[in-house]
Amino acid sequence: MATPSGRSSRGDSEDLGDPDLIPIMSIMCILIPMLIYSFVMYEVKVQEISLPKFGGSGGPSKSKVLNLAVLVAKDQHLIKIQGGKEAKEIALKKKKAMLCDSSKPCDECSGPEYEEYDYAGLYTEVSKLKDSKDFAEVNSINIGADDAVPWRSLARTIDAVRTKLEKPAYKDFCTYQRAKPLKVKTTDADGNEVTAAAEMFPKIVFVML
Amino acid sequence: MADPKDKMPDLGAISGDVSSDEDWAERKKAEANLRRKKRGMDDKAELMITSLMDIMTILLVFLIISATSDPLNVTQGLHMQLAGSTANTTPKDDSIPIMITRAHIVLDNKGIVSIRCTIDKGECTEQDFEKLNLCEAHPDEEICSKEVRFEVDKQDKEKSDPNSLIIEPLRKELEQLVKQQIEENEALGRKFKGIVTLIADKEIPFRLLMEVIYTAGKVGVKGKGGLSQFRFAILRTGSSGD
Repeated sequence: MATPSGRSSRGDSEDLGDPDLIPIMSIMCILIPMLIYSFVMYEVKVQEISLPKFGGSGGPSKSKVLNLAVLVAKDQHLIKIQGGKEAKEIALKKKKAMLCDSSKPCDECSGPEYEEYDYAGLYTEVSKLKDSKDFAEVNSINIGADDAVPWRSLARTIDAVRTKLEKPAYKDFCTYQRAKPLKVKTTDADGNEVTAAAEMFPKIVFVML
Repeated sequence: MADPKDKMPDLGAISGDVSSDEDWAERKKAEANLRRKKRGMDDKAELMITSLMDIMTILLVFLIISATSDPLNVTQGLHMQLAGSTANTTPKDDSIPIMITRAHIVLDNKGIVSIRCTIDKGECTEQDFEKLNLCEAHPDEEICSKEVRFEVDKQDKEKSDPNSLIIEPLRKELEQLVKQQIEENEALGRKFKGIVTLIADKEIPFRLLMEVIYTAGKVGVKGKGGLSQFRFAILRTGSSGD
């Protein structure tokens, strides 16, 4: 709209001065804490699994291919070896574990006791099997569980059979829990030499009992 | 010493002596300007917020990019606590996320199926969930050794059979979503990979996980592929356990 003096109001730019940044600042002051609050501060990774083989581990396998399965029952782990000369089962009952402050050495734990799956024993047995010549070339393992077994117990079971740790055996849950994965030099997809965690059975196949 | 005029009411203004009052105000303003000039200040004292604006803009852009580029946007809460694991695989490809919380199976930000939780044959309460979330730090608590059941109602199962592994509402929604994604991928000239990421709460039992996996495994378009690759979202922990 023209002003009485004949100049358009847009022409008075020299009177506008600096833009008022305060409202923008106010919006930003709200937006930034909101985004920081919704920001994921923890590291989310994925554990790949293969399609379940329904009823696959029910009866004894007739094939000569070695088949290793870990079954998580309500009160124990059951390692089943099939397809070899003879079927073999190893049962690892739940054990008493002690809650331990991470700043204290495992021998000085004084926390309350609770029942826990014997992950240290499971790792030790599976590690022994992997080191045997029968399973040296096998990289898949079947994992099944009772209906009520929670996902957290399965995730820990997968950890115990997937990665090789610094030692081949651990005597208790505390030392096992604090163990670091064994690092080995390998080559990546581009042919570059990289250091990665050594694997025992990286291919996890879910089975239904 | 303070000018008495500062505190006293201006009797001149009340009596209509406006000109003397204006003179006084102008004199005061001139004195203030003089004082400011002596101190090297401008007429208007302003905050220099331009540099602060620069920082805020960069921070805002960084946060928005981080929030939108994260393929697994998981917000943990009372009904969703991820299980800890040492797995170190970073999700790269696009996938269909299926969230299994303690209350619902969530697909595409919609609660598709309700989940019923029971402890000792009684319905779970919010307090029970709070206590369950503390089991990592206090595994000796009574609730941590109890059997907590999470299950889908039989009405939501195929043919209302409680033993069925197929969750009907989930299958229907997944079929629509897969069909839509296959069409989108075809339009873009890409191959549909059929990857499913299961974002499951750590307390969800194996049976319910298998029901979801089995249902998803049944979904697909003939000749164009279906859901065939499965992965679980986990919370990365440093050592072998969590």
